[in-house]
Amino acid sequence: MAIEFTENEIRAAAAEVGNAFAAYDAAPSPAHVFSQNHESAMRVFFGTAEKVQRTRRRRRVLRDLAACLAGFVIALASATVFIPGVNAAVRRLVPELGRPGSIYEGIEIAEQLQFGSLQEAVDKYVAYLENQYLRDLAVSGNYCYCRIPGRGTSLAWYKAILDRPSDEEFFLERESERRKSELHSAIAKHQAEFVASLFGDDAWNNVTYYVEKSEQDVPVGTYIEVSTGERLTKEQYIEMLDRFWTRVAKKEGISTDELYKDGQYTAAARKHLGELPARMDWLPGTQSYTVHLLFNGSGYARDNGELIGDVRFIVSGVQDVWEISQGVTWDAPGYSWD
Amino acid sequence: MFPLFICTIEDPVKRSDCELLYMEYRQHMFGVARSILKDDALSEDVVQDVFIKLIEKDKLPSLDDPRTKAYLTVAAEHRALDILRGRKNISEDGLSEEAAGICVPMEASELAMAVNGLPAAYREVILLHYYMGYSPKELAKYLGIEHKSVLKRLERARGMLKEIMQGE
Repeated sequence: MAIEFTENEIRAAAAEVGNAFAAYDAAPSPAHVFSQNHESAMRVFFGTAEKVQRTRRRRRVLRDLAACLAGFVIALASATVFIPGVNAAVRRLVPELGRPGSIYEGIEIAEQLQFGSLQEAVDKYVAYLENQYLRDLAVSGNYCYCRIPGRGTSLAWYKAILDRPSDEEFFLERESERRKSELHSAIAKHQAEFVASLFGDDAWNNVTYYVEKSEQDVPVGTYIEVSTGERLTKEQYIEMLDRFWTRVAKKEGISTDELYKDGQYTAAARKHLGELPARMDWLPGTQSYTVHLLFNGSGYARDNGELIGDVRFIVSGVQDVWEISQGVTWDAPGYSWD
Repeated sequence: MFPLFICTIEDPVKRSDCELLYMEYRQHMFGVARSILKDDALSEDVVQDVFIKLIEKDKLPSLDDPRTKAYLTVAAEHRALDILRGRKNISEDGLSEEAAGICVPMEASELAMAVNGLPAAYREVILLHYYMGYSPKELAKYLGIEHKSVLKRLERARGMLKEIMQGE
């Protein structure tokens, strides 16, 4: 016999299911701390691995392994990058301002670019802020993250950015990725425009800067081939570990997903930890510098009668390896993290 | 501390509402996504993506509305399945059989149990249409598919319900 339902019967059944959904509590992983700081730190230090993880499932394990190996360094780095103490030296320079708080208008570059010198890092980052090669960075997946506390961005503008039609030059692997990269590069653009609003339309045409040694150095990571001691690029490192863990999985007769579960190596993986062909290391002697930008010779401007400025970012590195370890930041009056 | 996409909301009332929703439901949505994706980073992305979509709407769901949690659960499940589909390279048509979605325990009428037992893509349209009151046109926009595909999916869902009930 054929069964028929009325629309009301389905509606009533849907309400029952909906109510069950409303009562349902999905339990997150107990090990997971939903922390943007942590996430940002991960992006700063493992940006490339994260990108690979998004596109190639079997490589997901690599980031976790790297994170495990360098967990304690991340904690150190997080403290260095995100705790306002890093800017104590800057505040000492301008104690008379008496600002209640320092905001981190931080662009944290996800896929960490490395530069050959401090000068190159500074010049390219300033050029990035000037939008000179913004699009190239966005296309390469170099996402930037920032917060805009106390300086709300126009939602209309934000929507306009997200609703932009597809553009071949912005083609990325997935639509959502394209939208994110557009958003993040647009944030940098917004920041550049914000600076222009404070210091004048020609602000970016008249940029000078001075560099100050930071009190705390942000470690810069590198990758070493164990057998030769030679430095590897991030891509070489990932490829090497990818091949290694694939081989281990094959040898153990399991999938690579079964090598690392719930934040820990499985017994099958632990047996092979001593055979890792490459390791992550931190460059000895890394130094960090705060780069203070001056626009038309001035570091501060008045915004609604209050001083705002000291636009700056931090570059870290040693010899021929330099990174932007903290993106552009500035002080705004009246902001408190609480 | 709230993520960027919330800080960008200009209307202070809307921003405050969004912050409350975020604080209240982010862990739950994360849990929903993680039960599907088994991946913390991607699950956080799911929460972010759902909220970004949410703030594009003229009106946010109310914190007091009992349907809000169900809606956000469905939204997180939908986005997580979307990501899963991308990772597994499954076509839209293959989604229904492949992705079961989350498993919500419940005691209810036979028909409700049948709705709950539908593949996620079909359960979703039933819930959004009959429970949340989305019109097929609104559903098409929400799901990013054509209007006729929504009607087809609703029709197929009803057909599946009949099959399940006849089998019992």
